[in-house]
Amino acid sequence: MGGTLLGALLGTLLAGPAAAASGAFGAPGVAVPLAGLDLTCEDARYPALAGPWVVACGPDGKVDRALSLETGQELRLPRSFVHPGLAPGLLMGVGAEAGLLRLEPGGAVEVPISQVHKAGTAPPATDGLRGAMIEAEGVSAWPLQEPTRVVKPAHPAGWYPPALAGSRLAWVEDAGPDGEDVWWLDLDEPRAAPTPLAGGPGNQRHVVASGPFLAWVEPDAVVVLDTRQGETPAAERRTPARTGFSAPPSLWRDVVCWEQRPPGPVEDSVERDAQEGTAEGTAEGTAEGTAEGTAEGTAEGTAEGVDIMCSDGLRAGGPGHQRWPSRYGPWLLYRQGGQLWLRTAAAGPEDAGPEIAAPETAGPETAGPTGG
Amino acid sequence: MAEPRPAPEAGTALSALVGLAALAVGLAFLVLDPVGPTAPAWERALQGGGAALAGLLAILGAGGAVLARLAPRLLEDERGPLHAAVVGLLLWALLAGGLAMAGLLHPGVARALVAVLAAGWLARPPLRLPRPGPLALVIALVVLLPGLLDALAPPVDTDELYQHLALPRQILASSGLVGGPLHPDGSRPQTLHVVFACLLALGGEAAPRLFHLLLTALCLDGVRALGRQWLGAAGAWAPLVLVGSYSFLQTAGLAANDLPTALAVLAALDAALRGMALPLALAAGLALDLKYTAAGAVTGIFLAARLSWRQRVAAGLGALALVAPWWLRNVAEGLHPLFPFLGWDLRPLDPSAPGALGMPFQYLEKYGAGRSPTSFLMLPWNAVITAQVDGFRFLGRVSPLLLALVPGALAALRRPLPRRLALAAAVSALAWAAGPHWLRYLVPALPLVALALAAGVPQGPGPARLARAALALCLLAGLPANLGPLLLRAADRLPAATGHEARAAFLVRHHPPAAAALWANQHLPPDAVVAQLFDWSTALIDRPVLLGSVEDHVPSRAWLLTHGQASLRDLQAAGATHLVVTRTRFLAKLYPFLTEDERSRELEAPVAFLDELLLAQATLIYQDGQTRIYRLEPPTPDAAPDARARP
Repeated sequence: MGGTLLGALLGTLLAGPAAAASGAFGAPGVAVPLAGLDLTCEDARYPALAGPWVVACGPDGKVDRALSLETGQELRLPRSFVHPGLAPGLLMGVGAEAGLLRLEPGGAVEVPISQVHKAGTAPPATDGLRGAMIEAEGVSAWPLQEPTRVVKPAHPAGWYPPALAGSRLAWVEDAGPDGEDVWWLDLDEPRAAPTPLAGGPGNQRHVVASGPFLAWVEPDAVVVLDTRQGETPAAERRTPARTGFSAPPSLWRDVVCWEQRPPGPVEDSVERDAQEGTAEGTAEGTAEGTAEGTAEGTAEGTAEGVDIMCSDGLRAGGPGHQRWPSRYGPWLLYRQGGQLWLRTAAAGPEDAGPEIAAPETAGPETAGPTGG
Repeated sequence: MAEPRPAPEAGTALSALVGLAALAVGLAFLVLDPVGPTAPAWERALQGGGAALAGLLAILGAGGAVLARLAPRLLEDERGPLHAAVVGLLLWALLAGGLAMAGLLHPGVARALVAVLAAGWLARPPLRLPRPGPLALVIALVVLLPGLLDALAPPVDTDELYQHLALPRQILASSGLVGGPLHPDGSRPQTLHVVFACLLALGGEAAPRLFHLLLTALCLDGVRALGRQWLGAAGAWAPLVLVGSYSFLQTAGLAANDLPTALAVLAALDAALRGMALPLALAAGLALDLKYTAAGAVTGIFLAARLSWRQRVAAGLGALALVAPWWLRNVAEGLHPLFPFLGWDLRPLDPSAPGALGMPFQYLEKYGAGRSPTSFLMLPWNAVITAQVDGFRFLGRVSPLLLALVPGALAALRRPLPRRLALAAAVSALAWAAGPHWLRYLVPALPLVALALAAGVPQGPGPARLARAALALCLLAGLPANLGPLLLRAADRLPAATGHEARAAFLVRHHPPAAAALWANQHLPPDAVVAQLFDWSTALIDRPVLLGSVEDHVPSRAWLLTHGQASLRDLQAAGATHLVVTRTRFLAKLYPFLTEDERSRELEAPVAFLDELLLAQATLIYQDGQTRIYRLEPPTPDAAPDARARP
């Protein structure tokens, strides 16, 4: 907790008077370390952003805390998760950790929903209205307040979480000899069958969603799709990228951020890590971030290691590897050398408006588990 | 007035009725108990148990038939089954090993071998099957019950996963042997693994483990029989030392090699004391084939043998001739004869690699309580009194009788036989002390040591009875520490062994990397070849596996330090399509004997360098906890081969 407060103080100081007055983290072009939130999680996908909240892990490796980037407030969650599905201000679990938590300034609130006690093979997904999960031999989505859950037969690749974009559910399908493909399903059509969304040579995978947008990784590219325009060529935006080798891309609205593999050879990691060990978390490390923060993103990255690129030009680069991007509004959360960092884009936090429907906090009692 | 005694006929009928009723009710209870074993668990137990029993009968038949011609004297008394089993096991290993070397050990052939060996019974060998007394039987059943549950539960033991079940699976899959730097564990003598492969083909995963359990029982009976034949009543204390020792019973229900080695050592001892050179050569050869750490015990036995020096040399050469094919195989493959224990090529194979010259296969200092002169003086005390089951401080436990019996054994040195036993035991113990101080490594010699110590147990009434009572109390004092962990483990295994805990759940609970192995089995292409780096789940992966693990992950570290920047590309060139990598931390407190520089260079640098290579050259496709699965993508033009990094 102390470390977090120190990180908050450091971030606020570096962010300048305006940010300090508003209590928000970061300032345009600045990267700050988030000390105290960098404990290793059991699932490497966390810490991550759930909207304007950083959700992070405790000493047991489970997600049990959240930090508001808008106010600097830290919350301890009433219960912990290993593989929660995240949406702005929401954490949802299925199986043994079934339930939905909403993060509010007053604390984390357990939202009564119809709980799914069947465990998935990857973290579930939610957009605040629906939940979705993948199982060994099927995919399913369900309105959070309803006790019915229809499982559509499929062969998901496992590990990759599903993605909910509007009425569309997308996931990574194990296509056997063809590798991995992205499939989807129209949830507004009860009789709709799963269909391929992105296939062909190579592997299409790491599908993520934000609002009506979907993004996934293809060989040498990141693709963003506006599902409102259907499967038209105009709906797709393909950005060359050397990514998909480790973390999934992160999508906020139609802004996508991804890990960019360097074009050159492997660096001498041992020496570099030793150097980073002295620089991380210090003013020096932060100053580096300041200098790099507003650089225009390119598809090449630096030759010094993995960088993070965003389609709106925000990037996290410099010595060492910048990995595991998580983007929301102006904020880009990432990890470097075992440390959690936050970089803020030139646009202010107020640009990030709510984009999902909030679930009822005091809805009717559900009929119990939806089973499965 | 006394009741009239029932007629003998009525008593027999009643006895039969009571016996049948008891068996029927017991069987019904087991089969119909709602929380008893499930149908699949019964199937697994019956299939595995049937195969194990068939294997045991096969080696007894084959060994008995051979000994009836070569050394019929060995079959004359209760030690007969011990000798028959050892010779039968050797025959099985020779046949299966030869077929495997020729690439002909198909599953069908492997199954047929059991029938071929069992044909030995057609020769009607004069073999007396073991007849332990009721008390011995009850003790054996009690101490071996945890082993039964081990055998029926899914495998999570480290040595089973990377070696004793993994290699038989690979042998069956390829109908031949694996070996070399990409399969270092396969370059050990595969004597037991070809036998386990046959059992695996015949009765599934439980078969080799149940067979091992039967060999353990036979070993205990052999110690009992030898004790009675050589030491009289005092000999009964030898098996008590063993059943009071965690380290002896620890692997009873697992596929392992220490106890089969102990069985062979025991047969060698008896043959040596009876002055029979040929059986000594066969048993000693088998012991060395099964585990090189038997060398100390075998040397001691040869020194104590009632044979001329000429006979000893001849028997020794005979024993070495049985091991030689494995050495020749390694030499033919360009390896050191004793690879993977010696002869790793640690020179840099790529300009970017630092190499690993000087890196030992095993850090002896890691085990026990130190290797200073004082530590060696205190070794017997520390090994018995301060050992830890779950710590590197001897990694095991033995009965305190091992210390308590020493004064008597010293006093018995004035008699010739105890002197011979003591000589053999002392050489065994010294050889163990020279190696890693891991109590499991003492197991092959433990029956021999127990017999040597039991030779000094005072016999007769009066003070001798008091001394025996004190020894019994000492045995009891050691039971909680020795049997407690086994009983706890048995309670843990019970739900999985009876089918009430799912296999996957049990595997993941005890061995978290199993989740990745299960995922790999479900999602990797059927023709995938998996290279394991810092991971040892080999037996759980249904795909051909490269590298695997052994002692401090030597294969992975050696590969990375010698191949450098080319490590993954060279694995790809060797056929690997995927990698299973478990994040490994070499805790400094476990390696206090290494300098910071040594620990960094030999242990940590390969791990850090691998992370860099994975980021640059592989694609993460699965992660659970500390274990990750990567796909090796085809090389891209801009992955400049001439650009070098130094790990």
